[in-house]
Order: sequence, then structure tokens, then C-alpha cells
Amino acid sequence: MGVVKGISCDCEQAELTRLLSSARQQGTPDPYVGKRRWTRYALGMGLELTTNPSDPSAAWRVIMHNIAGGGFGFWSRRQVREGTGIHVREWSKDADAIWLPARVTYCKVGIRGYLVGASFDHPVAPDMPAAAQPAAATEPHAPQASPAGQPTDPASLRTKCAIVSVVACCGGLVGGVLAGSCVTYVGTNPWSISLLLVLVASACAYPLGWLGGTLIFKPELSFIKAFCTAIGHVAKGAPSLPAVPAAPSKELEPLQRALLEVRTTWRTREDSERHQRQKLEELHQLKSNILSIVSHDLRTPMTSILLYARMLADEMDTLPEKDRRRFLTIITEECTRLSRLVDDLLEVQRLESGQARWDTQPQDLSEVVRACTRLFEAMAASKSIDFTAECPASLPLVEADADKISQVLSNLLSNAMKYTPAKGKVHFSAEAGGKEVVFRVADTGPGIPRDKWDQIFDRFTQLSNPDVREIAGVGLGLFIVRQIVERHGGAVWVDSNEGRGSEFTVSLPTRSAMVESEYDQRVSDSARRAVVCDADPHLAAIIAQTLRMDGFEVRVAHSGCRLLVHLARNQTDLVVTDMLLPDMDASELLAALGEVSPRSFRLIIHSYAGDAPELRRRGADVVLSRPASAEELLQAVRLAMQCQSAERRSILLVNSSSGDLRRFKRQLADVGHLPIVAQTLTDAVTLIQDYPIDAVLLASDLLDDDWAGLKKLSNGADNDLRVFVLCQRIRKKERRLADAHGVTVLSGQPENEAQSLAALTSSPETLIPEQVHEADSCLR
Amino acid sequence: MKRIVVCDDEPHIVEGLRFLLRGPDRVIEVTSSGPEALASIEESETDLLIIDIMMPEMSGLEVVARLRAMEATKALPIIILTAKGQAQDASMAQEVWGATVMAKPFQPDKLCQLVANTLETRACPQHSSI
Repeated sequence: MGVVKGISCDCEQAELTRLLSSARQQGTPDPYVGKRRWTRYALGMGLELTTNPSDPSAAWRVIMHNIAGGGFGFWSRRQVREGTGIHVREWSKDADAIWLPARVTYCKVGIRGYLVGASFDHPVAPDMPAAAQPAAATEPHAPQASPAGQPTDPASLRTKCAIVSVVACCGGLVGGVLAGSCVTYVGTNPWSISLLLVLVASACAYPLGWLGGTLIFKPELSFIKAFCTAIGHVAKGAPSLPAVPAAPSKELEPLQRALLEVRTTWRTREDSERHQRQKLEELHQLKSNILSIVSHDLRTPMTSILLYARMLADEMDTLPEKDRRRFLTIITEECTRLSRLVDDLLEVQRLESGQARWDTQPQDLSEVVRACTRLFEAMAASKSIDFTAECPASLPLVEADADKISQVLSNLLSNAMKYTPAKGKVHFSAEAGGKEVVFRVADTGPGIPRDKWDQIFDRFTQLSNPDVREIAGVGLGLFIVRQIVERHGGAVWVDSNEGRGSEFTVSLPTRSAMVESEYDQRVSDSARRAVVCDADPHLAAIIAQTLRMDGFEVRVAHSGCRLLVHLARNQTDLVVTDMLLPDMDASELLAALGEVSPRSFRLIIHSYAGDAPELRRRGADVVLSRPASAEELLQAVRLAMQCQSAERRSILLVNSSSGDLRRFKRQLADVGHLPIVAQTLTDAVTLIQDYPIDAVLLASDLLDDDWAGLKKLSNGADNDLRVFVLCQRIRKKERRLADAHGVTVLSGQPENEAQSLAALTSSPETLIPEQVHEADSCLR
Repeated sequence: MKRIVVCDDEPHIVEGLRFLLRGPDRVIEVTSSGPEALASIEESETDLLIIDIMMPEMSGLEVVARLRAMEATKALPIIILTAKGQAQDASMAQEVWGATVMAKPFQPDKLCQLVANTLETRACPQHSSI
């Protein structure tokens, strides 16, 4: 029997510990624990491979969340191959859950000889609940799950028919013999004899045939009865899942399989519905929190305004001048607070819906910083707070929106001023550190408990006791700060000593550090459009909402046909689709998506089962197991969009007097690449250092006789840079020089243009599929 | 001399209340948190507590519950000011603890009226209504 090579788990910690210790007890040399992420990606569905601690002699075992033919992974090739018998059971904490025999039908071998994908035939579940299914409970033919045994082959219906015929024939024979013995009583008339024979034989054959048939077909009859009951359960929408009876004959297996599929679909749907319910409840909770907090925050300043305005109105004549002034100041302050709250609410709405306008340009933020700190000096003086600010005369260039950064700083500073008592200190500093610009705001306020450090940046944090303001007055300011800072590619965090003060730090990457991710940013800046296709309208709406929050403009389709029509008419960047659509099956859908031209979108398959590597081969960029959480979905989106930027090559064209390069530039842009033009070789070297350039194309007339200028290019670049030299004529000399410098020569002749373009945009190496790559890195 | 304790974490509001409720026969104590209010009430005899619900450290409702649990303050008249819309807890406070609930933003004259009424009927605390 096989030895367990690894345990791939996304179960709970306790379960995992138990599995690991049992694996060690059985002498498994190096139990492997798969990460949840890996399990999801490589398996395509949540499967777990484990041993049965109570039965160490058993071979391979798979625990599945849903029984359906699907992938499982990561077994040694030597031990599992097509045809190997395995045991599977549905995921359950119950140690006595029944293991079902199944058979591996397909294996996919990854690097290092490990299986990265495989599928197995549908196992047969014999567990019929007695109450729901009395016929099956007494069913003698239901295969008992014997851990070591293979599934018993059900008899063929034809064989059974033959047996029934034989029994009937026997009846006929007995009848014939009986009739023969009666011949003497009817005389010798051949007609009478024949008639007697036929009558008696039939009379005997009928009851014997009926009896034999009833006995022999009893399992089939029971199966049909059980099947009807199970289907009835589905039709009635019973809360419990219908159990699947075992098929007693081969001919009935399709029926059984169909029921199994119904059950699987039912279960997955139930899962997704539960997921949706949970989401809705969370949304509802969030809505209540928002209402409660917003209403509180609006009512408080309104109370002050009303109070002071009324007192002013009532006692205008009697109030001393000093009090009147003071009351008016308070009213003004509270009005400002009110309008700021409304502004914040609108800002949050804009940030979340992706409608915020960003006016980013490379700039020195020191001026913004100084303007901001000047504003707060007056405020600090009025509260007698010791406010110090230090900022160098100039800061490295940051790709930023000055207004938004100013908002970040003023939110942080006003919080600091608000929570620092009189005679306290607030210190602000701006400095350049390596690849980032860092702003710090330190105060001597009450501080923030450690467990709230992350929470304070969330919007409308759920408070454990809504009547107690755990973090006084924290509304939307810090949420806005985090949104803006993250949008600039930076980070914000807090460090605090309870009772002694807090320090907020904002780090923004400088322009040179941003160059790396500039392309991704560009992709996301140009309004990204996504289509979500799912037959389930609720799930589609949830996915669409998640994508909208991520800044996509989203359309929803509920059928494959609609999806294709939309893709044909609209420019789309991302498609998130289920494979099980009402109007087309998975292969039709993938084929149709493959034919969409030009194919400008990334494809995320979000479905129940499926062989992820196979789906990727057929055009999916990311395969996501259903139902995916919002986090998983966003991660998949990022992964898919990265695929896009990986395929979009940035190609540096070094200009010369010839028009060839200009032609190339247009054509490269047409097919979705990013052509960058440099005027001279020196410019090219600078650009190579600053930008992630995939390839350089330069005209040979820029180079001197022995192409020594190429050395300059290779000095500034990393090894992956591919250099192409465009020559009008490729002769021996050019070939020799190209070999010597390790570059490729391309023909500038118009008739060879397509070939040259293909060479220029080809991928430098064949990428290893992600799953295999990931599986490999998890192995060691 | 009547002693009124006002408790709210919003400085503008307590200051305004102190001004609004001032009177020749009244002493107004201003506190900004639940524990402070409790300490102030324990310190000397109080005739009325005006308290907010949503405050840092301790909820106003908790303060009310603690006061009601103590013999000395069982019958202390309490006015709860709340900025939370339709707070069920507040209505419970009204029914169970006999506190009066006023929603923020409140009408200053109504509060003045209520305070005057409450102080007058200090001897026999009844469920007052606005």
C-alpha cells in the first residue's frame, strides 16, 4: 500500500495537527503541508489529501469538500497513476465518515514528477439516512464502504434478464413434464395434447418467472424507489441534502451519476448562498454602523450650533461682548466641523466608487508640507500646544496629487491637535529616506491601544460596544488618509504608547522607485472595464460590487450569449465568468471566448470544479474556486492584470533619421505594446536605467563601424535586456558583429517587417505555468 | 442650592449647558467622562444628572445603571442626551430607570423647562416626559 507523501490541507489548525501527528506515527518521512492558497490554485477545488489514522493500511485517501470528479494534487507519480484505486470522503470532522472507493481517471504530472492535477471517477455514497430513505436502508445490494476493497461491480441488467428467462424456461419445462404426465387423460388427439402442453407450461412459467423476476430485480426496484424519493427531496427543496443510492446495475449508473451531480450542484449552490447571506449580513451590519456613527457625528455639532445660536438669540442684549464673540466662534467651528464631515463622507464615496479625480504629477512636496504646517501653527498656538515642524528645503520628486497629499497631512495634523491636551507637544517631520519620502506626525495625546492600530484606518469600524467610543472621534479621516496614501503606492501606519502619545508615519515612494510599477498604474488608471458573467444574479452582483470597489467599471451578463455580444461590442479589460452557464457548456464558452478578436481582456474562470492547468491552457488567465471571497477575487484580479502587463512589452526605439523606426512605433502600439522613443544613444542608456525596458531596437546607422556603442547599453541594463539592431542590409559583417555583441540583427526591408516585429515582441522564454511553479516552490 | 452634574465628552456642549442652565440657586458641575461624573456625584449630594450616551471609556447608560444600583442615587433624576437615532437602549433607560431621554439636537428652552420641572419635583421623582 502506498505511503502518504504529503498532507495538503486547508482545514482548521486542530485538524491539521491531528493529521500531521498521525502521519508521523505512520512513519511518513517528511509530511508536506500545503498552503491554503496553493491548495486552491493547484487543485481547482478544496481538496485535502490525508491518511486515515484508524486504518494505516489504507492507501491514498482524499478528503473533499464536495464529491465530484475533480482535480486533486500532489501525489508522487510512482504511487498514483491512471487506474489506481483511491478512497475519498467528503470533508467532515467526523472521524467515522465513510470512505468511498474511487478510481483515478486522469493524471497530470508537473515538474519533478509530482502530480499537480488529477481527477477521479464519481464515488458512490451508500449512506442513505434511514428516515429519509427506508428502501435504501434495507437495501442489501448497497456496497458497503470497505476501506481496503475495490467497488463491487454491479451486475448487468442483461445478465439479470437472462437469469429471469432461464427461470421462466425452467417453469416451462416443469410445466411440460407435468403436462406430459397428464397426456394419458386427454387421449391421443395431437391438438388436445399440444393445447394441454401449452396451457400447463404457461401456467407454471408465469408464476415462476414472476417470482424469479421480482426477486432478481428487487435491487433495481428499490433503487428506482430511492431515486424517486431523492429527486422528490430536491424538488421539494428539503433542507437536508438527498443521499445518493447505489446503482445495482450498470445500466442504472447514469441515473445515479446524474443524481450525484444534482447533489453536488445543490451543495455548492447552498455554499454560495450561505456565503451570500453572510455577505449580506455583513453589509447590513456595516450599514447600521454607518447610520449610527454618521447620525451621531452629524447630531453632535448640530446640538452645539443650536444651543449657542439659541442662547445668543435669547440673550443678545444681556450677554457681555466677550461671550457673544465666543459663542459665535464656537458656532463657526461647529459649522466647519459639520461641513468637513459632509466633505469627508463625499470624499469616501468618491474614493470607493473610483470617481475621485487624481491630478498626479512629479513634484517636490516640501512646499505642500510648509503650507500645511503653517496652517496648523495658528491652531497649535490657540490650544497652547508646542508644535514643531521640520522639513528640508527640498524633497525628492514624488508622483503625487498635491491637494490629496495636503489632505493627508492636514487630517493627520488635525487629529494630533485634537487629541493632544493643552501644554502637550506635536511634532511633524518630513525627510527623504532612500527610495521614499517619509512624513511623521507625533503627538503626546492619549495614545491608541495596540489592538486598534489597524482598526483605526478602517471606515466605520465596528465597535465592540457601540455606546462607548473606544477610539474617540475617529471617523473617516484616517480611512481617507489610508486610501490616498495607498493610491500613491505608499503606506501609512501608527506606532503608539498608550498614555504617552502616538506617531503616524506616511511613506510615499519617490518617482524613481515608482517607475517599476508605473505600467501597472497606467493600466489601472485608464478606466478598467470588466464583465461579470454568472447565471446566479446574486453572486454576479456581489462580484460586480467587489470589482467596482476595486475601481472597475462593471457590466453583468447572465448568459454566455450576452457575454459574447457584450465583448464583441465593447472594449473590455477583464472577464470574470462561471463555466456552467445556462446556454453553453464550458468547452463551448472557452472556444467562443478564444475566438473574440482582438482579445484585449483577461479571463478569470470562477467555477466549481475543473482542471486548472487545462483551463489555463485553453485561455483562462486565473482559475478561481467558487465561491471565492472578496479577497481571493481581488488577488486573482491582480494576478490576471499582471499577466497583462507581462505580455505588454515596453520596447525602446532609438531614433535615427530613417522613417523605419517611426513605422515600427506605430505598429507596436497597434498590437498593444509600449514603444518608447529615445533620440540618442545616451538618452537610451538613461531610459534603460530608469524604466523596465524589455527590448531595444536601434538603427545601425547610429553605431560606429565596430558597434562599440552597444557596450554602453549593456552596461546600464540588466541581463534580460534584448537588443536588436535594424539594418537595411544584413551581410556577413553585420552577422559577425551581432554574434560578437550578443545582439540580434533585424532587417529593415519592408518585406521583412512582419518577421522583424514578431522577433521584437516574442517572449524571451517560455513561462512556466503558475501552478507548477508554485507547487514546486511549496515542495521545498 | 441645587447641584446639577453635566457629563459629555464634547467640551462645547458641556460649556453651553453650563451657560444655559446657570441660575442663582444652582451649582453646575461639568465632567467629561463617566467615571468623573460618578466620582462627582459620590462626592456631594446631587439633584440632577445630565449625561450623554456615547462617550469614551464608559457609556452613559452604564453610568445610569451604576447609579441606580446604589441606594443613595436610586432616585436621582437623570436626563439622558443622545445623539444616536432611535436608540432602543435609551428608551429602555427611560422605562426601567425612570430617566428622561432627549434626542440631540435638542431645543434649549425645552431642556431648560425640563430641568426646572425636575428640580421642582425633586422630592418625588416621577417619569417625566418631554
